[in-house]
Amino acid sequence: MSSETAAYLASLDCVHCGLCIEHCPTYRHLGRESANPRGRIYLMRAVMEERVDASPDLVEDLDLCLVCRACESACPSGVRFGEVMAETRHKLRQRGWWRRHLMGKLSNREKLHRLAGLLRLWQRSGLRFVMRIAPKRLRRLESYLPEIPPASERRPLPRHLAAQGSPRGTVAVLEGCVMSVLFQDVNRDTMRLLSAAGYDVVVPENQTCCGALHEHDGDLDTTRTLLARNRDAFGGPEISAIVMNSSGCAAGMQGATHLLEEGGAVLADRVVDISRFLVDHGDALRFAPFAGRVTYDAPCHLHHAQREATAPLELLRRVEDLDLVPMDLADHCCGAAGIYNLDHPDLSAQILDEKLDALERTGASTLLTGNPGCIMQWRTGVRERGLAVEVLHPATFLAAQLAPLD
Amino acid sequence: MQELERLLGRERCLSGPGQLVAYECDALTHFKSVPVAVALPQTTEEVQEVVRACVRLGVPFTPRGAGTGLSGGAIPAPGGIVIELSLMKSILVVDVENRLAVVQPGVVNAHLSTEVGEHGLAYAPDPSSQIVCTLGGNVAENSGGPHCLKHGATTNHILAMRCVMPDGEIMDLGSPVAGGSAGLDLRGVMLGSEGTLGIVTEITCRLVPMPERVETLLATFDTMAAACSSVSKIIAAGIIPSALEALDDRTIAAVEASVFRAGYPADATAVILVELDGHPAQVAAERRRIEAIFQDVGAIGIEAAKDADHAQALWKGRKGAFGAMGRLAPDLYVQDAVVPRSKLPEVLPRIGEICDELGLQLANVFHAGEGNLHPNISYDGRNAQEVERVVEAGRRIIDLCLSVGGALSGEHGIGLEKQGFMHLVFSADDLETMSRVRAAFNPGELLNPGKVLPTPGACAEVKPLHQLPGAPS
Ligand SMILES: Cc1cc2nc3c(=O)[nH]c(=O)nc-3n(C[C@H](O)[C@H](O)[C@H](O)COP(=O)(O)OP(=O)(O)OC[C@H]3O[C@@H](n4cnc5c(N)ncnc54)[C@H](O)[C@@H]3O)c2cc1C
Ligand code: SF4
Ligand code: SF4
Repeated sequence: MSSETAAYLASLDCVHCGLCIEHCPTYRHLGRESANPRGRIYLMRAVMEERVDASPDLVEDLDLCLVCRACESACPSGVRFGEVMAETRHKLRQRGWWRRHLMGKLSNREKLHRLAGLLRLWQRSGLRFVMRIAPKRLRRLESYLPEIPPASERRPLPRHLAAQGSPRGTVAVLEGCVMSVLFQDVNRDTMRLLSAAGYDVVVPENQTCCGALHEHDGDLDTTRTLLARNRDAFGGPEISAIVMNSSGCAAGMQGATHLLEEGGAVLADRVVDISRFLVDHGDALRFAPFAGRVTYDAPCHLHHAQREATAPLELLRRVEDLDLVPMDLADHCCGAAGIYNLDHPDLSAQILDEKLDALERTGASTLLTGNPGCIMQWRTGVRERGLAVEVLHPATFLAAQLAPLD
Repeated sequence: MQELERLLGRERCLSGPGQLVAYECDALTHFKSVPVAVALPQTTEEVQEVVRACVRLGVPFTPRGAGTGLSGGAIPAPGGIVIELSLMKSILVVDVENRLAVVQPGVVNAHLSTEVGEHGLAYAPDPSSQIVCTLGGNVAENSGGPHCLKHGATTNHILAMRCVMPDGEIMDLGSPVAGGSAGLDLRGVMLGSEGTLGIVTEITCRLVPMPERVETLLATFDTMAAACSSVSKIIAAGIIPSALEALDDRTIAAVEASVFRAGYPADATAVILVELDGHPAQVAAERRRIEAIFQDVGAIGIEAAKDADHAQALWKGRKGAFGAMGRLAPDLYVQDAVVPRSKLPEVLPRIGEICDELGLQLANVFHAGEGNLHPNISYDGRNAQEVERVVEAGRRIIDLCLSVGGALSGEHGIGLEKQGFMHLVFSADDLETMSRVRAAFNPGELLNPGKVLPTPGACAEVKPLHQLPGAPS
């Protein structure tokens, strides 16, 4: 009998009612019980109870889970699916059943920045045509990569940006790993928005990767180490909020509450998405009107993990003339799911395909979504389909609309 | 196995030990039996091929939709396979003029209504599991739902179907022309046969126009008896609401703690949820009469849904109640029995007594208008003793309901769960007739064996959780 870990106890909350299964993207495409939340919880519980042995098929269907946590939003019994999955993957890893995923090896800022330099050279080298004969997975990886920004844009963020007008408080931002390499511009826009809203913005030193991808991958030891480092880095008493623009990282840091033995809540409770922060504290912001059709896709880790469904829309509605149209399946995963699109390119592409159909039906020329992985996934899909749609982070979009203070 | 893989390819033929364990039970986790393989066909012809292979090899086979059945109907027979129909989810035809749709059996109940909504039409039967359960499963169980009080259960909405029979032949039953009928009503025989007479692979459903006006009322009571008496009074007054549901305090607390939080009053001992639909004038008149009845029996609060969103929230809460009860204990057993409406005030407290005596936690949420009770008993399946007490409570509740002139099942079916009770309501002759019907359709009994009709010994192989080797005790 397994020790009654928190995750095991959480798995008991599932009464097998099945009300979640149609929310599960992998089930909708694969149709099998072992690839839906009810089946997965059932199997995880059986593994934890040691009633069932791990087997390649079982591990594969757990691995196919996007950890999008749509099932959590759907579950009337309040099953904390993400926690159960992380713990199970951790156990499987200890027993040698879990292979280490790509990002687990890469999510280290220094390594990533070095790699980015090399990739940029490659992208500019004129040799990319050889990719046509590369293996599928590599090809997908290559196509998924956005243009690496030049080194000047990848330079570190300033440690401090002063509030415009009289300061209302101090907030911190996480530079992130992927964000800092590929989306440093989004980080800068985030800081600009916060400063325009009247906040002093700090980028604490010694901060590190959020640990979300390690958690995804069942590497809870590394996750805990990283969370503890961030808890200390962001510990400054003047910091009233840690404002996030990567919903995956935010959800990861919120996990500190149950993952860290000490002070986890200090970190987790101050984590807030940029959209929510600006809805609550951004009354000073003024936006220029925007005449165009825009749609919004909810990142899973914002919508399902942070349960933040309304703030991005509320904020966007403050832009006059904006034709904000809802998109079908906006609360369904786009298939990015961390680095799922690299590990399971076929299923990920199928999931995205359905979403691209929905995007086309909106007729929007701009798609906004607040998570780096989702932005990359959407950009790949939009490019491959040849759609004239610009995919942006809401922070980028809003920063561009910032009207000068009067 | 190889045979199935040859027919469907590796992706749609499961044989991994973990994948198979996921199929060992449906929403009733009491009984478990692991299939030897799972096939996921996509067309009638593929179902036919799979069935033919099973017949050739003498392997039992059990159809399965979404696995939300609550009587163990989709649990495979020992040594048998599961035919999973979840990938057969195309809506083939929507005929707006004739108000009908032809669908594959894996189409999710609610998806059909969403799909035809733009034409102002809906598929009426709405089991609480409608956001996930399949139309094939609905046909097999003749499922009901809150709104079946006025509009009728599944059988009233299915015009025709195509089936793969247990010998692999394809048969068309019923008539797609609404109102058409000739010869024996085999459609009616197939409906509610719980997957024991044939596998439904295409369904022609009747669609109904959306009502002009819908009103949802929520009445609050400080006793369950008062709530129940309002129910019989409403029906006695000749009003047939489209839905008439009851929830008790435990259910309310569980729902309010869940993602389906509906804003039910926290201080209520019972609430009644009523929906009226039809012509605006008629709805308004009925609403006034119902409000008067509520006041008469001493309702402590009456509230009308402010708008469509509010009404939807009230219904989502009701429909999520079963799942929400997962908060109370690891497992949940839902009994399904029917009593005459007038007996509700008398039967409910007695069910409470049964559970108290056995030390079990009970919550009631039910289709009051039809007298269809769903006592929900929360328990811990890891405790063998507790499981036995739950089974005992189920038995006593059935005895009680039958003793006041009730029925064995309202809508969840007999499946594996209630075969043992069939002799309580049917004579040996009745049962003999039923097995002859089954034998006519399903002579070798390879299709979903061991369900519905008592077959001594058949369920001995299918062990409750606590008897499984390696299960905690
Ligand atoms: C939360 C919850 C609420 C529920 N509420 C209601 C309710 O309000 N009213 C109600 O009536 N029921 C209710 N149920 C019970 C259940 O949802 C219904 O019985 C439903 O019709 C089952 O559909 P399914 O697709 O899940 O079928 P399954 O559980 O997969 O199968 C049910 C039976 O149908 C057979 N079957 C499935 N597909 C086919 C087919 N294509 N051809 C032949 N046989 C087939 C199976 O062999 C099995 O015997 C509820 C269940 C849950 C978990
Ligand atoms: S996870 Fe929740 S919704 Fe899904 S089967 Fe379990 S209890 Fe039901
Ligand atoms: S997390 Fe997403 S993919 Fe995984 S079981 Fe839940 S809904 Fe399915």
